[in-house]
Amino acid sequence: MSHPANAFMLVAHMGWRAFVHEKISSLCLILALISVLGPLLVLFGLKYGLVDTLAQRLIEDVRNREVRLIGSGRFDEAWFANMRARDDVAFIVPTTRSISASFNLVRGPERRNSITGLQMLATAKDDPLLPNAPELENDLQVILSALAAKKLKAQPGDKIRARVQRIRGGAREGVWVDLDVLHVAGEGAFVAEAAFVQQNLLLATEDYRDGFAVEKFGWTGHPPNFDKRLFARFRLYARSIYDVAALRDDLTDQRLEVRTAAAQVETMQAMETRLNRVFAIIAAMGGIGFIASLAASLTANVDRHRQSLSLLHLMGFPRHSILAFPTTQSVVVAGFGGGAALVLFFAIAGVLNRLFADDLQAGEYICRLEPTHIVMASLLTAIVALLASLWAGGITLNIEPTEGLRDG
Amino acid sequence: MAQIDPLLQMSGVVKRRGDTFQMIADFDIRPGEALAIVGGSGTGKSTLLDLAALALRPSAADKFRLSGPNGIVDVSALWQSKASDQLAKIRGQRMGYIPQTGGLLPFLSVFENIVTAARLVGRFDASRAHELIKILGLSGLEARAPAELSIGQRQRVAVARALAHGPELVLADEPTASVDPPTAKVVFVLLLRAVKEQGIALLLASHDWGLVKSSGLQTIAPVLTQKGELFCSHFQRMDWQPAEAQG
Repeated sequence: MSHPANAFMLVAHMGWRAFVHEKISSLCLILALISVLGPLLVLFGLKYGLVDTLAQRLIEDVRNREVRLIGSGRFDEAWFANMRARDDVAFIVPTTRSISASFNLVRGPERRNSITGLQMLATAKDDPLLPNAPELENDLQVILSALAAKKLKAQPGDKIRARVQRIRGGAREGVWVDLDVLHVAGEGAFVAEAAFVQQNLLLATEDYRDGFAVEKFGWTGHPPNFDKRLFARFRLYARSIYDVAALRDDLTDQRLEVRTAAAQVETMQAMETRLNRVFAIIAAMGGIGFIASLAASLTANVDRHRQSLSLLHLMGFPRHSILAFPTTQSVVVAGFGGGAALVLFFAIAGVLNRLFADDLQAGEYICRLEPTHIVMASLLTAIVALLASLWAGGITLNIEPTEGLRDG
Repeated sequence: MAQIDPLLQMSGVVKRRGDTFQMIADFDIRPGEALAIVGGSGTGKSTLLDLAALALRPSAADKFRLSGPNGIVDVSALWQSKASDQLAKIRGQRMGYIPQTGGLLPFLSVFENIVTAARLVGRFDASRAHELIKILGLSGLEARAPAELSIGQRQRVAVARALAHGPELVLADEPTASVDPPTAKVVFVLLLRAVKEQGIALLLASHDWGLVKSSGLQTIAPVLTQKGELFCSHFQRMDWQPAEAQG
């Protein structure tokens, strides 16, 4: 081994031996690091776990992407085509006035299982509420929400009967429609009782209720005479929660009153930004505190060993090799302290996640760190430790070989 | 008798401290030779040793040379070019220093203290270390920490450390000043025996006239002069007996 490298290794070994020799003060250094790094890791774990879980929920919950029209309007095909063409629109389908959008009565495969006033929702390909459902192939197929299927005791493949009623000329009359249950939506898709149908069926019930005949289904009434179909409402979903606000503003500009979760999303985003800043401030304070305390401790160590280090220099150790003394101690503090802080973090994160287990869905954690975060934290700790040791190392460069020879 | 080249040559080597003190060294020392530096306190014995150990920068020097197998090293030129690592390398390879008080590394064991310098220069030799340990009566203490030893034992460890890497020149600064007279005698005798057996040159600062005299060492002593404010201490070889110098 070359002279300087050998000298460096020998001094590094001495740094370690001195560290072990002074168990108590070394332990204090490690504890000081744990007390800074441990809470920082837990704080960041909480920030990442809690805030990101909530944010993820907001992002993933399709309801937050919905833009709901209050009341009703008059929208033509051109308007819908225009909306469909927008980048920030993920899904739009025309629907009827809310009052028309229901069956008066639906009977399950067994007659005694029935629902009065079952809400109808127009659906189409790529409905965000029905991510895994098959596409409806004709007007007489239906997808039931989980709750509706439960009440009707209906399963995919079952036949159900739906009643549509109207009052015409003072008399109540109605028609029955036989529908095939194609699919039952998952529990999370829609909480209430609902039947997802093709737009045609929904429009037909509206026409029927307005007194018109629907030739396709054999329903009698006034002959329909509209040259241009107008739609009262729509189901609209933005591409992402971040597009909701812009979409809302555009519709508001068209004098439409809409309701969205934009405010909630904005609040969440604002909170996330603020929490990030708070975390950055606390991390910076902790980091600076740690670097200062470690540098001060290492400097004190160098000072205490000044005579020994001077002797090393006298014995022929090159000036720069003495740097290895504080550097080794710093690396050892960072290694043990950082490792112990990680162990502490995992223990506390485990406890926190168990405490909040009831409020979390599968795969969600209140306190967690990704492997990349742990690598980052380790790297930062190492860099901080090296910076701190350079501080103390600067002092070793000024130690003269004769200093250690005489007391005073 | 063939003239042996001096190992260390110091001629007109000056160290000044402010305007009030000046030390001048004019002597040389040959390989295997043992010289005692005598003189009262404040005459600059330690300053002279530190200069000879290449640990202290001289203020000026007419001739300051160290000869060796690879020719002659101009020490004052190295100081002028601030070649501190080169000076450190020479110290490590060719010199051993016994400080006034042990100066052991408290975090290393006795054995590790003894062999550290040898390890640095790649001359670690366990059998040589054990031989020194035996000669200096340190057997059984190898694994102890310096703090567990008596002051006399620590001084002997410092002697072993200064010799373990096979230096050409050993510098000892009052190595017996901090121990009781019987122990001082033991350390002194062991040190002289060790350097003689190994053929090492020794430069020893001491104010213990009795020991120096009884050991029959040649001496370097200061001639003191005062010019106004400036106190000047000029070290040269002395031909007279130490007893006369004291008077």
